[in-house]
Amino acid sequence: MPFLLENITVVAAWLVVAVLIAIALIVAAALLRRRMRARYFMRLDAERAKAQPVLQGLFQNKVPYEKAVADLRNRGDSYRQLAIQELILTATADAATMAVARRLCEDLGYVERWITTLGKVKPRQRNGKPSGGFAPRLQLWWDMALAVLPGHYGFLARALAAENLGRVRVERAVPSLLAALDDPHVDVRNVAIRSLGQIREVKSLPSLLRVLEEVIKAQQEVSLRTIKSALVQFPLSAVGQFESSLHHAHQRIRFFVTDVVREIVEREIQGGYDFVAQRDFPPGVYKAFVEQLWKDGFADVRARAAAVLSYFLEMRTSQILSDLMEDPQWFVRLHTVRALGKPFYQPVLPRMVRCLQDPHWMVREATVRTMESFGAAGVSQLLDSLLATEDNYAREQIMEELQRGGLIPSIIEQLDGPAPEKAIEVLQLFVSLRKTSLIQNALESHRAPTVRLTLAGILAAAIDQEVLETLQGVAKNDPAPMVRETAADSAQRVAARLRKLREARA
Amino acid sequence: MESHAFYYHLLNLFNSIVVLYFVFGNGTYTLLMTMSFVQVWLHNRRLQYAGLNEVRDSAVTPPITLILPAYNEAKIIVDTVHSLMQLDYPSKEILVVDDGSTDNTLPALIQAFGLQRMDFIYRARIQTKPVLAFYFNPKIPELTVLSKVNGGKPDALNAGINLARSPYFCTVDSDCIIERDALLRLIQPVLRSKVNVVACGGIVRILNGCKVEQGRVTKVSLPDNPLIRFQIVEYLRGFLFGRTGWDLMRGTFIVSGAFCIFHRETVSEMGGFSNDTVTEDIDLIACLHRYLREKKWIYRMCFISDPVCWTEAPSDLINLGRQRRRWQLGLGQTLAKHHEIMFNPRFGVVGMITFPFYVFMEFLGAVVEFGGYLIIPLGFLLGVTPLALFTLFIFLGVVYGSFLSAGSVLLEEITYRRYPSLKNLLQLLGYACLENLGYRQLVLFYRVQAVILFLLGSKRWEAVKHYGIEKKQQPAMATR
Repeated sequence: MPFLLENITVVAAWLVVAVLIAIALIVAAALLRRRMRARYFMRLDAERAKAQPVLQGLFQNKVPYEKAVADLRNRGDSYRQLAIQELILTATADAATMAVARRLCEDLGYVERWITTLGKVKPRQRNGKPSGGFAPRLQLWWDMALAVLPGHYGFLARALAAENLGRVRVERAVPSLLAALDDPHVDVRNVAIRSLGQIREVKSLPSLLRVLEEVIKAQQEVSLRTIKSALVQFPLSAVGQFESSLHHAHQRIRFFVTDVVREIVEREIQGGYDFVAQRDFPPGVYKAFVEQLWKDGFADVRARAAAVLSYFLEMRTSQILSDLMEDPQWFVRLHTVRALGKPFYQPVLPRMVRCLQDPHWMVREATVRTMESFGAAGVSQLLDSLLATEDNYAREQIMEELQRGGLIPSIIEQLDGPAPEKAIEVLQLFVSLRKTSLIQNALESHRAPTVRLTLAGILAAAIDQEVLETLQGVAKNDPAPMVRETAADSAQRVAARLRKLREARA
Repeated sequence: MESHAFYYHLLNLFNSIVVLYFVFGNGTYTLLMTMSFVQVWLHNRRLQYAGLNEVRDSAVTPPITLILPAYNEAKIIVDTVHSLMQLDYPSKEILVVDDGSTDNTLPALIQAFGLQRMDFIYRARIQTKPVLAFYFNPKIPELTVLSKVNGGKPDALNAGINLARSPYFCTVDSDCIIERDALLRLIQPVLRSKVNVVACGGIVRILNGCKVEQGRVTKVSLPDNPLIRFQIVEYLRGFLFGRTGWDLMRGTFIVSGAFCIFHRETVSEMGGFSNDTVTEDIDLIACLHRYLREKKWIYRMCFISDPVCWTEAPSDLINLGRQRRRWQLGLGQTLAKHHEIMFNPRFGVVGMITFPFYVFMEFLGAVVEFGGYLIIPLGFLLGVTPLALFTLFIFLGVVYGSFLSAGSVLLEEITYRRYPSLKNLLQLLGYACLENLGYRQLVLFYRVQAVILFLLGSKRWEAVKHYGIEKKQQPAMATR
């Protein structure tokens, strides 16, 4: 057929018709899909409703286990199986029902099925070369293409199997999950790592540490956060497995493993452990921390080691941490000061005060926060430091944290107490550095006239238009005549100072 | 006679350009659609093992600072902050930057959250207009409000970056409602990526018509206003097709500033958001590409289609025009500012495909397409344009566009199914078919206006008025 204009008309007209048919098909597909989904969920809901009483009865010990298993096993339909599996997996999230749910997964054959699914692939070749490049990407695209074919779920099914094994936390799944660390698809590897972290079986640690090494050396597409997330879930009793990695020649491996130990220790502490002692660590690991890691050539290792050392609560570590507060790297000082926020280290306070004048603002900020965490003694020391220091950066940092911590109202309350001198001095300093917002607020709203009176006097030292307006307002509206008088007097002084300033500028 | 022949040839040339434009544009969109179908479907399946609970509980999930710039948003700001406070995320900080509002924005916040004025330190690593005050309540330590002299949205965002402390910050528009688990979903690429993720955007959906209770969307449905329904279809196409497809090709060039996370240190080092354009989000992405390629850093920018941010769409023609002119003008300004990226192999897919696509198809293409919609039918009526060309034009310019829009509704139905009612689905399909008969041309008109404004050197920021979404107090309906 020659390529003529007339033919284009016909072709275009046919194209219009074809696309209109395609649109009609899309509409039909959308409606069909909606109908199918509605049916699907309706059946699933019905099956959930049937299985729910059996499972609830089982979890509440009202139905004998064997009877429940027999009942659930008889439900052969795929919707039924799906509904039961979903309900059991949901029950794994609750510590009270976890054990029964796990046993059910075993007895109903789910665990076996997941393990089998996970093993349906050849492991990828390890060649020690950096990951990335064209071939792995091509493999990913190929996997994706396979995944959309009907009936071929490939990596999706394997990843889901790994996920379920992690949720159920069965130890016999560990070998399969360890094998899945070599799965050709990165999703499966990611989920297997996560699941191993959830199961926390110590024998999986060497493999996970091998993966960490590969990730750091860029021989794996898995992210560092994924592997670290898994490693930090292991219990404190497993840290012995990290010993060789703590001495590794690669500084980033030493750093990540130290950081993992830090996370583990912090989690244990949050979980109710009073403190971590030498006995909680294998001798080799303890020795590595107290003798080697805090002196490591890589500053990140020193910083993370400081956090772990702080939990030992020993005189020896107290000395080490005091030394680390003077580390040449600011972030080592930062982590050290943060780590010292435990009552045991209160004796270190006088040395910590020096960090208030650190050249890096984050160290100053962390110091103030740590001192605040010591309670009344820390705050008192902080106020003394505020009054003693000539360093405006340190002063500003302390003032910021006193505001953020909500401590200014309690300082203002002291004005009404038997010894208000220190509070007055602190507030005067606030005024001199133009940090008057909270003082103005208290002047306008505090219930005690004596406090308002003192504040009106303190604000006389300000050089600020806004303070002037506040004082003038109080001079007019305060219910106490004495306060009005003092506020008027202070307002005059502030006005005079502002006038002088304007003249000087002019 | 000669001049007639000249005009005839000129018309033919223009017609050919229009046809080529449509062939190329539709071809690209079809390719994007195909890729997006695979990507979105797979992403949806992958959510089964996404492990959101692990992200929530993990010690390595990075904290995020939500930066909410606000200018005269008194009606909605408190609800927006409430919705942000309810977000399910292990460690977050909310910074509201009041950019010199002249209405009750600041007093509303102070009253709603019991804030007190405080004098904090402001380290202006990125230069901004002066900061006037900080507002804070020690009982709600995750919320800080910063008040500053008006300097525009980029300036407000920069002030927020200066104050932010987390490794990532998330920009949020004040008229937006973010779904409870959206941050957990948005951070996933960051956690999974082997390389540093510097930006990651989520999907923006239209809030009009939905039921909102206590800062949460409790029922999704279509609004009565046809103009907004057209925008819903348009958003579905733009986000589910366009951005997903570009992301699959590693060619992300646009993420919506209404809801996106950025790596704070990188953005801060680069100088933050710039005031050079009226679309600071597009500009920032381009700046990041340039900065990181120059430094030869390996990085990733991504888009994922399931973290949802609901936003109020313009409900009248005036505000729609303002919004679309601003978007197109900003695109033009960004493309002009970063012209070095064009066909520059150093920028990979972005330089060789995405950027040229935006220049020729999205920016200049608006003029060609608009001209086509005017000249080809007119030429056909006057007997100058042959029937063949006219039929081809109808196919490419109208019918195929409807096919793409209907495809996006199908994709939505296959994957996320946010609109539970069958009536809404049918309405969406209907509007998808009708979108190319009037609405598209209307939007094109605004875009052409913006191209003219660009040529005139305009830098005017056209503000869109938000009316706020009516809050209904009926009990929430269960949605699947």
